[in-house]
Amino acid sequence: MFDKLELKNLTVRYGSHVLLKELCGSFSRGHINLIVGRAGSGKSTLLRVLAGFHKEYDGSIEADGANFEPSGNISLAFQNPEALFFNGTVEDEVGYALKMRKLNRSEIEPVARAWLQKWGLNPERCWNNHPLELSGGEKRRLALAACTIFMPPVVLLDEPLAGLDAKGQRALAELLAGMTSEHIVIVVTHEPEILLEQSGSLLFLHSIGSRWLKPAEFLRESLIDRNFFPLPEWYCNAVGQFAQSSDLPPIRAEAVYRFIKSRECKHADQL
Amino acid sequence: MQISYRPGNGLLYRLHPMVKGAIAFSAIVFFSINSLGLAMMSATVAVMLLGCRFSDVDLTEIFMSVRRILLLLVIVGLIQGLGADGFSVTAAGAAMMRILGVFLVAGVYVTVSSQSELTFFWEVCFRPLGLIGLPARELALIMVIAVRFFPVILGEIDRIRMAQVARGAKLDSGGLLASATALMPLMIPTLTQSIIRAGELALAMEARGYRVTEQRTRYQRFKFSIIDFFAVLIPVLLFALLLKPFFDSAF
Repeated sequence: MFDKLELKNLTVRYGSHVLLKELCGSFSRGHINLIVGRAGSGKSTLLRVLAGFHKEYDGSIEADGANFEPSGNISLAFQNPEALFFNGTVEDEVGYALKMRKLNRSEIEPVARAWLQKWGLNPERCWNNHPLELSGGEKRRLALAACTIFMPPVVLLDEPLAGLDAKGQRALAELLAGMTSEHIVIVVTHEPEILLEQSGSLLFLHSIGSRWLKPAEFLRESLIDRNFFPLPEWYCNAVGQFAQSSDLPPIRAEAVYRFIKSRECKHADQL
Repeated sequence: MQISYRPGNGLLYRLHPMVKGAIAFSAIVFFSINSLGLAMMSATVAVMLLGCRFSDVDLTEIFMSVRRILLLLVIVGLIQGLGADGFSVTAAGAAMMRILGVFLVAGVYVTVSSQSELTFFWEVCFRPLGLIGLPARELALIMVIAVRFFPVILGEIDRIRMAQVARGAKLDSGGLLASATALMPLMIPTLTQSIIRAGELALAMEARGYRVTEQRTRYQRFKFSIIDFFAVLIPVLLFALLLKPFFDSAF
């Protein structure tokens, strides 16, 4: 188990093109670490660097002060969950990582069934199905279950919320938040609003320079400069006038409602 | 990096697909069965590479891919080099040069030939089979798809490898034997995925209006130019060189 994954002057290249320049900062355990940015800003590439798939980089990655060896220490759930599947049944798919760790079938089955249940899948219904026969949301859950069953210290997730309905997204956000006590959870997303509440730091990747921000700072910057990051329209309209406020609410209707109410009360008191 | 078609405008690119195919075919046959020594074959390869260079063919990927057949070259060299009089470096080198020559010719041919040119060439080659009732056009299509599927299959192997590593598998650890054993779990998923891909490709082709029995028209028309008439001399020369020993012994 690691506490901190640190990037030291990380410069990532694709051939002669420099994608990320001298990135410094750290991802830590205890909260969700978000990576946000426009399409093509290098989010997925950074995940691939952390996973050890992309080798064209300078600088170093350290885990708790020592050089980070990704092999066996990471799991990476791809943007497209189908890209992770290569076994014939859900049973083989979810149990693969344990099989690689030399556990026998009788040991794997109860763990795998329990793990599927934890991720919201009913093993009785899908145990012998081909992974590609599952629905979109189920495939994503299966991919996440298969990636986390061996309890890797670092969990890298590329767009885990894509393709899920609102209820599914909230449930998944809770599951991810629950994982942060034991894993360093790093999530690349285009929809940071759902995970912002559970995140402690946010890495904003941009061609002119990348920045590490606190969630509140990210919200403030996005409200002040709409080109910085497109937040949901309703949120901008509701709290845009309080952009400079130090206690901006999370992007949740109930929280925003309470925030506006409190402002109105304050305003009424002042009158 | 994988060998695949790279658009260009050099001399080799501008040749008629039939001439390109004939040159590639004759060169492959030439490298496979000629009786020249190591020096002459090395010279032929050098001339061929020089020709490619003047024709602006990007050889980087082809050279990079040579390392994939290094083991094969070494094994063939060792087997061919061993004779009754001990190990012959010349015989080993000649055998290795044969394989290298075939590999380079095939690599250059794939690099300078577009999908439509390959299809055209194979269609014309298989056309005589139509006379005896065989589906010539479909056989040509199978050949082209097989060639074009190589990068897809390699990509698929990479994907599965990444999916396995992403779940904590350590495929690249250990020695040669351990690496080879670790590759075994890749084989079945790769085969399964290839079959799935083939089904998807068939559906995609039908969705775009491809029908087996329909008469097809051709969007791209290939014309012989003056360069092609000179280029035809290359396969003629190569076959003449191959047949020369037979004529010498006959007369």
